[in-house]
Amino acid sequence: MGHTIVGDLPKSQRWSVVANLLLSPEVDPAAVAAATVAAAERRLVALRGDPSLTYGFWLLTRLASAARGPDFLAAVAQLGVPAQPDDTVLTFIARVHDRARIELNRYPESGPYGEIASLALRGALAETVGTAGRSLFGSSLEELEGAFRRHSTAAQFGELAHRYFAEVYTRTLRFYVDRALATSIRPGGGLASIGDAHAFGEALDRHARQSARIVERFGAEWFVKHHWGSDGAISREEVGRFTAHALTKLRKELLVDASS
Amino acid sequence: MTGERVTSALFACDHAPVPEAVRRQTWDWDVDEPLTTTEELGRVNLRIDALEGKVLGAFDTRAADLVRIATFCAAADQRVGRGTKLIDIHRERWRRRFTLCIPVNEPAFWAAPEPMAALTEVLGFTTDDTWDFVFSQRPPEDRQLPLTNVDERTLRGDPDTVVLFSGGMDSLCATVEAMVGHGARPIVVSHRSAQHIGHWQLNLLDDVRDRFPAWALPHVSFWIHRRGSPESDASQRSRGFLFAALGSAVAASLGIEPVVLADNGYVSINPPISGELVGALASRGTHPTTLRLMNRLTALVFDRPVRLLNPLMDRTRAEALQILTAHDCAELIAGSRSCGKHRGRSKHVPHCGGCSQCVDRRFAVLAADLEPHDPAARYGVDIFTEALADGEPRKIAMSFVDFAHLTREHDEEELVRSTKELMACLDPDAPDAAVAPARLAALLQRHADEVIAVLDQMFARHSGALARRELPELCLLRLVAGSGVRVDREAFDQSMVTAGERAADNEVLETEIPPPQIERGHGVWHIVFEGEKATLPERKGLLYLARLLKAPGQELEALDLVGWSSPSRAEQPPAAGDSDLAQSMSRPVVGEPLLDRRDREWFQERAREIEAALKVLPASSPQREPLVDELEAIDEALRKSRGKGGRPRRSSDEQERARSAVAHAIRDALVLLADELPGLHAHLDDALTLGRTCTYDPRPPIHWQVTL
Repeated sequence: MGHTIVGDLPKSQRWSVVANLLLSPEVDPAAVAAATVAAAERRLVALRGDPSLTYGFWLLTRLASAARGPDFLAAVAQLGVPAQPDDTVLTFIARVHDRARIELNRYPESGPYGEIASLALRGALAETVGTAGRSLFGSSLEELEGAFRRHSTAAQFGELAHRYFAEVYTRTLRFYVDRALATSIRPGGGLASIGDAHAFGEALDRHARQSARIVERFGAEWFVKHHWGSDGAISREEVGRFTAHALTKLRKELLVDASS
Repeated sequence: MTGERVTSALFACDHAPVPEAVRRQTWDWDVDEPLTTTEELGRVNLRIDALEGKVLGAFDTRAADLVRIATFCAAADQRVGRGTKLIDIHRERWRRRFTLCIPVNEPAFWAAPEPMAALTEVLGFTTDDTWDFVFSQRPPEDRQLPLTNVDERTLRGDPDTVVLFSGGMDSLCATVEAMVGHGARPIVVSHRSAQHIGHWQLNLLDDVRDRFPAWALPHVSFWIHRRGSPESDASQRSRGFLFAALGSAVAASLGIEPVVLADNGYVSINPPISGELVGALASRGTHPTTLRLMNRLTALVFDRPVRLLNPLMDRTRAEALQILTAHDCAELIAGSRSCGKHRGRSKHVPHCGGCSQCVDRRFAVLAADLEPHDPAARYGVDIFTEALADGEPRKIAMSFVDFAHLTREHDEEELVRSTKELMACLDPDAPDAAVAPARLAALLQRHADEVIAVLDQMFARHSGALARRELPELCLLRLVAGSGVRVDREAFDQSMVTAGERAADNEVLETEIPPPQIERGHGVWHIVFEGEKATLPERKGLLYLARLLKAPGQELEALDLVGWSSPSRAEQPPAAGDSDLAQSMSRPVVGEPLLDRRDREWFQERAREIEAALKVLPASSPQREPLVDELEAIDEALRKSRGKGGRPRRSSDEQERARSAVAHAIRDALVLLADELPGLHAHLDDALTLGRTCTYDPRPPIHWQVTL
């Protein structure tokens, strides 16, 4: 590996709850997720207005709406993505990443959420093709367009929201929990081996993705309620309001899941 | 509403003018701390040496500009903290905003949209920071940046490749491959941040020259470091840009196109083995996107083509090491260094064993079957059989193995889909863009196969100790074993045979290393360090050093060191309550306010207020966490305001005089040591901290025999 900077969880009361849960005999992903969300509450609440998370989702929705228009390449070029007709899905995603990287660098106040937004954007694009049953490696731009067009506007918006925010919160939880995960491994403990820690991490990811289904449900409703029109070209301000609401809903969902 | 306000820093470099509109903005660091290279005692040292020969000429103007820009970026990067020394749980201090005002030879060029965008983009990607520049005209009378002391005889051989040489395994392999494999004529470029070049680096180059004498292997070394206040951040994410800029500048000035910046593919990608490694928390010095963006910049900057390339991008480290095997020079491995925490380490145990670079190196050497040249004894910890300390050593080793397991669970497409960071490695305009994803995934999978094969090998080697539970619970093998990792029976049997053969062939000998000693004689000092001896004339600084060496890891006040400089007091501690010095201002840690009695009382009162508030706030209240953070900060400030034995830190004037006296005396002694005992000089350069309190803190710990 190259150089890495790793850290620890603070010794404050809230973070100690997370650390102790990881050391318990039965490590419950929902409980760890809830404790992490509670411990990081100040920062997660502040994400409501985060410009990077807003930009990432806005770009995703605009790419999707571009696919329903008459000239996909021209439409995405206007978004700053210089796609070529013979691009594969992965090269297209690389171009999207290049564009997003430049924009997201303008928001250092996002901290790690700049990169998390970019990762969520890439993941949502890759999964869009994947659900159409196509190989990611072999898919063309045309197939991506087709995958975007395959859903009605409102339903697609909800699905995109799920993919994007699921990735945001999956990454968020791991950003914190992984600081203590490896060092919570104790022979004879709840996490007795590397394999146990790996399995727990996957369970945590599944829990986050499942919790993010709430965003899909209300996302479609939100789209219809706000009359965002048949072309789905939503402004960044409107996306900002949706993003704030989605993050709040998901945060509270993760808090509720542990207590239910 | 978003994260806390970002740390913003403004630097005027080499007395560049700062526009009023820029100066009026709010800055956390500002022009009160200028960065200069043009003065003898300037804050940033910038010197280029080649190790033999005469002055060849000067860098061309844009090359000189690029070198200066990169130098100032690196200096600013070091000067401004990003919370890596704190528990910044949200990494809110990691990203910063810089504005550098720099005089250059061609301000109109650098300020134009395309070069500016290319410059800020490559810096933004490698550092995670946001960069802005204000360029002004550099005065013509400022000294040129000479390309000095390159031996004209060697340059008659007409070098055709620049190789950036760090002394690590990968740059070593790349150098050998260029020279021997491809018949190229490389000139190596290195960077050092201390006056002396690491002897190990020079020795390694000499070893390569001795082994392959057909080419003289000329060497240009850049000495670039920031003087003055201690570095606030050691992450050095701008170093990759600096290194690439130096190599490109040399190439452009010598009319060379290829610039080799080599790291094996796994290191270059630096995959996120842990979820906390977001963005440039995992370094990007040779990331494919870094090279792509850097090439975009050099294409704009230089009239002649300069092209950065990484010939090891498609290889794991073990595969790169095959270069040395193929050219029958694997013994060179011993002279290379990979450790990210190499400072202060003994030349016999140069690797800590627990950092990310050491872990990858250890696995690679085993996978390449080259352990005799780089045995476990040269690592501070053997991750396989010794308990992994809490924190980074355990985390890195376990995450490394876990990622290998994860990689093997996926086919190539699943791996790219699940590891979205790989998508950022792609160049969408490259001719091989369509096949690059599969190639990257295949690289990671080969790496994973190597990791698992090494684990199998080590399980086989230590099967008896494992069965008898003789290995510590928290060693890597036992931590992996609990997951039921498959041990291939056939491989196990074969490894038992080869382990026996290897034991017979192993020529690595353990040598007796004399302990380090410093002894005061009559008007002289006798010093032994790493087998080297010297007798030095009496110097006050050597006495101060001896006191520090006798108390490793302890903070000694400069005032106390000065008090002990009299021979009659050499062994006497200060008398209890020796404070004819009035209780007054505490010693300021850089950037922190003084704490007098009123300050302390205020902090104590505030702490009581916070504790009272915490008692009544509900556990779920979002107001609790900032109060807890503030309470921790107050505790830390109060702790630092107290000196040894809980006494308040003493008068700042006397402390300042003592600080200055001790610093001058020790530096004087270090100059002496640089000539007589360069190894010790290098060690102290890393392990000493001088100021109002002084510390000798060697890593790993070293116990000196001190005789005063």
